[in-house]
Amino acid sequence: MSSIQLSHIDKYYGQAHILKDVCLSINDGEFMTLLGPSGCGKTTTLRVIAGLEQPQKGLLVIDGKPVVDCETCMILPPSKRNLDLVFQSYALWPHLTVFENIAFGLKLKKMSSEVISEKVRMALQRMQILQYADRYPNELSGGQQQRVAIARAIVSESSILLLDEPLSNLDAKLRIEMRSELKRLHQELKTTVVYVTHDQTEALTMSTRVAIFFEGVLAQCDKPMQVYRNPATLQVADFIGNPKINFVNATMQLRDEDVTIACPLGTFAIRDAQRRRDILKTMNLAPGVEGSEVVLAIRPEHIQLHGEVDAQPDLLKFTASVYSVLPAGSETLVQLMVDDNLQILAKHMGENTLSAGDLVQVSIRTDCINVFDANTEKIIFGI
Amino acid sequence: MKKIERNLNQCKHMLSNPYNAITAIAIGALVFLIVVPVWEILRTTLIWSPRDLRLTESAIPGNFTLFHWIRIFHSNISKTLFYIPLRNSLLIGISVSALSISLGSIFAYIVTRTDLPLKKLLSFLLMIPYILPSWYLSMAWLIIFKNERAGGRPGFLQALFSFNAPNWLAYGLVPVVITLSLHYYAYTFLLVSSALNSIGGDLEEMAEIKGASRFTILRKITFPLILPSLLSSFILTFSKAIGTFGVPAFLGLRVRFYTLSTMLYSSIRSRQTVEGYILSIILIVMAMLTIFMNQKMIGSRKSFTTISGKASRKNLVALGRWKPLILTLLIVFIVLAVLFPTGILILNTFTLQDGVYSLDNLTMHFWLGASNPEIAAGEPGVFRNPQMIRGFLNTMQLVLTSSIAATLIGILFGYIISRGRSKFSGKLVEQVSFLPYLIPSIAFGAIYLSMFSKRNLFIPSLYGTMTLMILISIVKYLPFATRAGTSTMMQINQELEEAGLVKGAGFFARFKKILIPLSKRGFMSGFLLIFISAMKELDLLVLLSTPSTSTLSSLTYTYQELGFEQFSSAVITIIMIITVAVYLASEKLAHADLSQGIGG
Repeated sequence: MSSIQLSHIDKYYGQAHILKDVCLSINDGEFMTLLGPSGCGKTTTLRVIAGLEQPQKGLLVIDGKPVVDCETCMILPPSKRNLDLVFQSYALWPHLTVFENIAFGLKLKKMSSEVISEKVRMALQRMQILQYADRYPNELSGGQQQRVAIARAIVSESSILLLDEPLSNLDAKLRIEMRSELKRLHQELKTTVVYVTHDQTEALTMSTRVAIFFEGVLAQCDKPMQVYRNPATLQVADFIGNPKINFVNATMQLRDEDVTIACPLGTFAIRDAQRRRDILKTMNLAPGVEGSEVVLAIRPEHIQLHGEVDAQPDLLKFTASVYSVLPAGSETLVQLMVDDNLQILAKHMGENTLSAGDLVQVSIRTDCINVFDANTEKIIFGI
Repeated sequence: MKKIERNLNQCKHMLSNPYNAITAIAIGALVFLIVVPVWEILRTTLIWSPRDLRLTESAIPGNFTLFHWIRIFHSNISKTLFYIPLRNSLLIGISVSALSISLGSIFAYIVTRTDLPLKKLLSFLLMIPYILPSWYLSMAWLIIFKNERAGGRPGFLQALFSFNAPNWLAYGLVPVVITLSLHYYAYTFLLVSSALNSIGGDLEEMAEIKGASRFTILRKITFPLILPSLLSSFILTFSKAIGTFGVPAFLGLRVRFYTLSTMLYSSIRSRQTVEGYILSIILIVMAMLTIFMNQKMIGSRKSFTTISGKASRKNLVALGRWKPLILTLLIVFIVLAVLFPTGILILNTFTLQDGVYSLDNLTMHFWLGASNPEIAAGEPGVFRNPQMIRGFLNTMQLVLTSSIAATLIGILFGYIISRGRSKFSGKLVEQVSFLPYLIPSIAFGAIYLSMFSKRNLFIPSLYGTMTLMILISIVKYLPFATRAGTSTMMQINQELEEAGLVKGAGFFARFKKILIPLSKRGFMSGFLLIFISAMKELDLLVLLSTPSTSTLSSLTYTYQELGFEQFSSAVITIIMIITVAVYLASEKLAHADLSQGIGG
């Protein structure tokens, strides 16, 4: 159990600026996932925390004690940070047995052999691989190797557990199995977990909070559902969610006392007072002035097809033609075409009888629409 | 306050991470052992030496002069001293390359791509010339072709068939080219075989599907793909052949056929040291030019061989009715080039008078006999000969120490290079440790002779000690050791080491517990390569060895110079037995891969 604070971390590889002024605070006992596309800096952040990379600028504090302070060139080696790491490649030493792999760190700490074998046995049991103790890593399957790697990390009873894309080398079925295993492990051990992945489902299902990186910049750090419902930037909105969120360009105007948004799907007003205040604070709106460019982001599951119209007052209604229908059993994806040039994707639970070319009545609850500033690409108001 | 703390912390990191310290020591040692000697030699050739006072009165010892260079390039002796040896060296380089590349690639194709039987045995026999010294064939050549004109006993052909070989066949250019080619073809054989093996069979099958004939496939697909390895073979063979000493010394010196390397040796032996140094520099420059040409020509194309490492099943070329003929030719070649010379060398050790082939001439004297003043000036048989036993012990000490040390240093350098790929220090170590490769062995020996025959920095004069012989061997084999070490270290995922770091293993613990155990196999391959190279080394040591530091190789040369042919044949027989035994043992025990460090 430990907290981690990164303040203003900058990391360069030669000319390349890998981490740009990253500030992130990880609370005691948290399951923090670092998420982003490859090359976004998430693994580098993890390696900075682990002590395998040195940042050029910034401060890293673990449990209130500075671990890296670039101003005084203070760097604590990895083994002094009370943490342990599971590598993407597992990094099991091929010349040592499972037992020896797990006992390695304990032997370095000069523990007695009884204590070591007891601790190793416990770790193996927890990961349900006790029967493989005397095997060599290459005699195990990928999933078993993964368990050994985790056992090696938890045997040190460190207060921080770092995981670098641990599930990316497993097949889809094993991956789902290991997800619940890891979540259970986190609850049992009560350690602080920092988890790196590029898989948003992993991030959303397992973590207490998610930190999303793009090109070395921390774009958003929030609870998983908050990230999903109110992405901080267009980039985050685009990255999170499967199937992808729909973007529609629009203009926003102040007319009379109302904030009105006009887009190819129709026009609607923002009546909620709090939202109006948000808008007036962030946007430079004045009566009569030309509208500001905004982008609407609409999740496919919020687009309702005719026959299922709900009785909400604030609805955006329009007609679209069906472009293609992709049934998947539990749900059906419907690609819609509006005005011959705007494609939007709707997700319909269950099956339906639509086919390509049909005209369909569509409605969207306006309070389910995220609105982004087209220039800054930041969210103006969310759900 | 912050600044002081900062400096203090920086000091602490420097001390706690030995990587930097080791890299600094490595670079320092490399500079001292490679760059400084070459620079010193160059400097020596550009100043007057006290000895020059005998040649010209205008000499002022210690001052700058181009006198020596002019003497080599433009004086009445430059023809004999430089131009004729240069012509001979180039002739040897070109003809040996042409001959050995043709032989090597034909053998490689036959062994990898046809349905010839006995391929495993054949490729082992074809590799024998590679693991034996290049000059063992020239000794056999002398035994066979020696003619009356050179004096002494007649050769095998003379004795049995009364065939008096003409001078051009017995000594000089022709036998030098032939015996060198019969040694160096193995380079091409190894390189082209591995290139052919790495070409996916699907590439050729695709061409077959498209309707290309066997010959068209060979010409349009196979040949371009192995071209880089052919070029590599050429460069390797050429640069080795122009600098080699043993063979032209055995076959050329007695008819005053000089190459740059033998002229270098003679100059230094006749105390014309500065001229010898200039010839060394010329040899180095020639070797460098070939290597640079190689990099210009091959450049990125080199990567061809590694593109499709996947060894797919290959359809072998059916030789059909040609099979018996090709098999016979190959066997005849192996008999003539490998088995017969070896046999005649061994037989020679049992003949009381060389050149007399009759049963009552057979003797064990050269192996077991006590000193007899009537035979070979009283030299006792090799097993009773204190000089021989000392030579054997010296060789073992030299070969074992230098191959183990070089391999270990190679692994350490490999670590520095593979972990510092992006750093200047890593690149520097890589470049500098490659330098000995560019220095022909005989020139390297000459350089070390000058550098370490006097007190140097804190190192006392090392001339006449085993330490010097071991030191030069280690440095000379560093390029191979480093290359083997780098490829070994590249194969070890960095995360394996970081996992140890996270667990609290320090630098030395990581090396001992993780990196060394994981590089065992690479270590064995590197060790084997260097062992075999060191076992047959003559060129490197011939200028440095003294009676008390003689090795088996240098004893062979000494006996040959004295005309004690049976003794030199006996010594080389021992070298052959040890080398082949070690080769077979390490291949069996450690699956060491000889082709990995081709060029030894």
